[in-house]
Amino acid sequence: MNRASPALLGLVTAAAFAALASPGRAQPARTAQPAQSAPSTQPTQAPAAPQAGTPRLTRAPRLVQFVEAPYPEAEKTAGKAASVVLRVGIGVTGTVEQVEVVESAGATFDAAALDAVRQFVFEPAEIDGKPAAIRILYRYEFVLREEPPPPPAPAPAPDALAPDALTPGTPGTPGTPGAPGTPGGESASAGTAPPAGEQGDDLEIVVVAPPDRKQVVSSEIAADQGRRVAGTQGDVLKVVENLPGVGRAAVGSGQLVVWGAAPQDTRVYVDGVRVPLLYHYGGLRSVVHSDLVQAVELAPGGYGAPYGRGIGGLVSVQLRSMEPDGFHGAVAADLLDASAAVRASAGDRWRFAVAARRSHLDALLPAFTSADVGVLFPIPRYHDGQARASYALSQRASVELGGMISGDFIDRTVQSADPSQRKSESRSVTWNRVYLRYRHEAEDGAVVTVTPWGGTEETTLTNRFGGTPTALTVGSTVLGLRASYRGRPRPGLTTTLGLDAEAVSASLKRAGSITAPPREGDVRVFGQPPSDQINVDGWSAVLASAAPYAEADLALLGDRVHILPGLRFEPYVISGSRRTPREGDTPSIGYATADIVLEPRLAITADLSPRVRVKAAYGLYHQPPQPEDLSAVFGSPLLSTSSAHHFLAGALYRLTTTLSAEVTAFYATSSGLPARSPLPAPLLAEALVQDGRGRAYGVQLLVRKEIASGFFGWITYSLMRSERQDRPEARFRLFDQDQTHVLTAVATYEIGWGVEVGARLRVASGMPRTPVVGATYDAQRDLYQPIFGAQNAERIPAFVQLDARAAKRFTFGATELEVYLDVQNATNRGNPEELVYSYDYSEKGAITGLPILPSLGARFSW
Amino acid sequence: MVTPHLLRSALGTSGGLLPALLALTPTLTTACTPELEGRPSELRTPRVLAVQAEPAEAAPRATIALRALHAAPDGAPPPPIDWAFCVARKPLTEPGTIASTCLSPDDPALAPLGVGTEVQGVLPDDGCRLFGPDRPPPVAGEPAGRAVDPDPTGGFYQPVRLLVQGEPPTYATFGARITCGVASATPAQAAELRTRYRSNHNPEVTLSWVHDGLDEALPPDMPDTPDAPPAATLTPGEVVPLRAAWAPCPEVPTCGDGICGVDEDTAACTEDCATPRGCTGAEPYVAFDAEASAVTRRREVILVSWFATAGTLDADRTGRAEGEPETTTDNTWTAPDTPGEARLWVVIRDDRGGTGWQSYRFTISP
Repeated sequence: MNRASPALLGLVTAAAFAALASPGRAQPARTAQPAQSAPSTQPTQAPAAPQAGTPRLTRAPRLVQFVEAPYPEAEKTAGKAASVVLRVGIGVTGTVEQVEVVESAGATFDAAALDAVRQFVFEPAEIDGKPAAIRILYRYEFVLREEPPPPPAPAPAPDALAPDALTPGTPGTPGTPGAPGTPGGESASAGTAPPAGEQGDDLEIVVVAPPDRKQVVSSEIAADQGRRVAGTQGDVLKVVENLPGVGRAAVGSGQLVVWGAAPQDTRVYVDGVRVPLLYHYGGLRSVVHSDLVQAVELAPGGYGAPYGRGIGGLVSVQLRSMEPDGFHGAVAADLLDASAAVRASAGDRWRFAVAARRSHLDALLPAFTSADVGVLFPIPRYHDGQARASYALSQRASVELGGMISGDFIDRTVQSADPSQRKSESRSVTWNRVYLRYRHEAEDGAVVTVTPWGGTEETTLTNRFGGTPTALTVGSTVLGLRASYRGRPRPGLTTTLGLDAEAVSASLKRAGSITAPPREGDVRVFGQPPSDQINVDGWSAVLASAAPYAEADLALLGDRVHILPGLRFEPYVISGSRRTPREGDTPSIGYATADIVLEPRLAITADLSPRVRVKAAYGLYHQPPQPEDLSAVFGSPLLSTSSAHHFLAGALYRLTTTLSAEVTAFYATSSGLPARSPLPAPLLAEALVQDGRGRAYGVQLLVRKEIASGFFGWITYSLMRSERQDRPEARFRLFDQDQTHVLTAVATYEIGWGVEVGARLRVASGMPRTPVVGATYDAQRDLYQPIFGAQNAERIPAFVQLDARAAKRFTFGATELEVYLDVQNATNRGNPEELVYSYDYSEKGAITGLPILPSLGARFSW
Repeated sequence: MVTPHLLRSALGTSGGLLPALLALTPTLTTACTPELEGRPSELRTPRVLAVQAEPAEAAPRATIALRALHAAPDGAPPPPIDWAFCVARKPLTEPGTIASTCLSPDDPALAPLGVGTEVQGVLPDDGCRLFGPDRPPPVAGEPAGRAVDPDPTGGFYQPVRLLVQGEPPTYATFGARITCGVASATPAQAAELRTRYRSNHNPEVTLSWVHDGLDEALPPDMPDTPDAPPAATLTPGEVVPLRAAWAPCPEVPTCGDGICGVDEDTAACTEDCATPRGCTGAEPYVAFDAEASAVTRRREVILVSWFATAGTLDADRTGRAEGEPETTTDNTWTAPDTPGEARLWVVIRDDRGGTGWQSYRFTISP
């Protein structure tokens, strides 16, 4: 008979316990009881005399709802037992807010344990008499038993709310030996809680830092879920495309359009280090290996003071914490690329992780088709790599040195008997990052993090359409510093003070038409040749800012209300090498401008009941101009920061512990957006003017089922509208990538025997396009030029796509092989992706996207 | 940037490749293109095929002649064409090659030139300010604005609007190349350009039928002699290899060849340059390369557009790039399957705004 039995190994205590309980590094969690032992629900030690003014744990957390993990079928068949040690973050309401594997027992056991523990409900810990968030270590044991199970004890359903499951004197009450509050099924006979005295030796004392609150409105997906979503092809970060508020990217673009903001307005951070891209060219893959990712969070707006320099959304990639759990790794390959990742530890202090990936599509495709396929269609090539090394300076302090590299390349040449139709396209983006992170957790729970980082970015675009060149080369050096202190000066108040500094020194060259490459708001049709009026420019620019910020988290009314005021003070300095276009050999005249901004942020959450939370947020945000826009020929050197106000309000309703519904309304306005000068003869060095304004508003709904019994998924629907006004007297028009309706449904289910199936449905309004109402014949260039109607007055037809995924895991000892088939566009629907016209614009059609696309892949891990 | 026709052509050449491609890579998502009717080379309705300015390049205040090639499948005479210079600059926010305000019959920004297939006019005095490298006149209270960028050959163009009074009325545009200075060059470079640069000359094209490895010249259609015999008599569906040719232009100045080319002037060769005349092929010329910040020697790109009232042409347009010294370009015309008469037009353009054309008449007989 199979039996899963948990054992609570240790409690994370507040600082008052720290000094007495752990003379050295916390011991690895140890099973104090036989395998059948039940989870402890008691505090395990009497607190020692706390230091004056130091928060003290007055009540330990207590498990009141236990959920049994299904025994993985393959392992059960193989007669394998295992134990998984997890670090569990328990929120102030007793819900499990974070779970991560500390000691792995293999992917299947890990996943089952994670699924179950996420459904646990605790009675929250108390610090100084008030509920507080803490972190514990928990060992989930999978034990095979031969005897039949005893009759299951009556218990609430797994999804029942904690308060309903907790009554005084029921099993699980402190001091009451027996099963946990919701033992249910086989685990009802799991045994008794160990005596407190025995448990004392099992304590791992980890000082609890004040909770690093997530953004008020955000969606976070854990890596082990993200990689199992259909359509992501195992890439955790591709799940961002499926989160609420995210528009469907134009096919192959890999861009993120969040709440109607331009893609460049959304910033991407990897553990606090800004990176220029989230996805490789074409959106095929993300730039960080999935095995190194712990979770990804998307805050579409209204985020807190620690982040700025962007007027759109915020994507935060959290890297996996590095634990001394031996040597692990994975290799994977599919039609797109091959990758490998390993992590290891050396001694008690050193930990390492390395990952690398390289695409091979460009090599495989000609083998399947013809050698000149790359001539007809651009095939992206990419690579990326990440390396991390951390050293534990002490129990509470560590340093980490990390680095990331990424490269994307596209080359294509189209030959023609017509010289004006010969085209070449060459694009590349290479970048790297190096960071050094120092982290220290003080005895009082305060956390200090200092992360200096730097890197380079090189972007090249070299196109030639007939005799018309388009070239843009940007070489940048980026330096940044992120330092923060987060502490709890008194109960109920958490403060964060920090500095977020970043400087970009860019050197740029550009040649070609002023309208190529096109920018948002340009009226054109797909495939239209660029203007043959060309120019060149070369310039450099430095954009720097250092933003001290402060944020508080004030807990009121028994922690039911949180008020998070924040303030960010950010002086920007922008300098450039050339104020006016080059004229002969006249020396260039540089310039420097300054812009000092103060950005208030405010967020409020209130738990109206254990089921209902309401929230609201406001923030002012600024964003420096793109270095590409600071050209005296193609742009304007005197562009300053753009700004945006975000207003949002929403409510979260927890139907069960694993099922919730969240609705959020938002309104965002932006101003100072660079737009093309509407003048027939723009002023010198003012081809761009900062008269653009924007507004986006809408509502998004998220219904999410956390993983339970092998099933997870979510449905998100966004109804939104994003508009732009290019000049003050103009009417608002639709944003080029506006999408009124975006619906995404994701579901994944593990049906047993290591088999998992999933599906994703996406429905999205087509993006706006400007209708062509006529054409004129351009006798000089021998082509027809379109006559346009009202800007963005029509749309590409709607996009509807169903993706499916099936995976089978095979376990061989401590190793695992996963084989998956990811089928995009399973119904083979011809989705219009772009509008095209006949040569004289007398007829219109639509380019359709992917037909059914099966992608077979495999991943071997140990 | 991919034009629909290019995509269609690409698909046509890939044959059965496409399904396999699409099954393998998400990068090919733009590959499923619709089948749109019509090709530029198919003359199914009356339309303007080309416009020529004579001379092909002139300074502001010079008189130029403009003529249009208007073709109809049935050989009908062209409708009235209303000509005008457009003297409004096109804002950066407007696509196309001419200010949209000039695409209306009586806009104040239009300077009328007359009606007909041929007109004459004086290039506006301020062409180089409005459409060239000279800074435009300052607006009250504002500094002078941005100059217009040159085309890849360093040229600037006076917009011309044609209103074809057919059913329905249609617009066509043209750019008459104007001789202006150069922006962003040093005074020495500007002086060098003034000395060495020679105005463009319209190219001329001839057509021949290639068979047995030999070119057989085809006599062009003569509008003044409608009873002249056709260029050739073909059988239905006959495949006709065609070759368009233009004159070779001397790379090295040769006094006495009748061409006043780059680096020739009246001092060096009075015979050729007293009345400057250019070459009717791909002319060498000098231009200012802003990227290299130098005056460079270049050669014109030649494009040949093909039009037929019936049958099918393999390519809509062929030509020679700057680095290709050949003076011919080939195409293949498959004659229609039905007996009758078919007309063919060959339009040659150089990339400095020069244009020339010939028309041919064929009899299709079993």
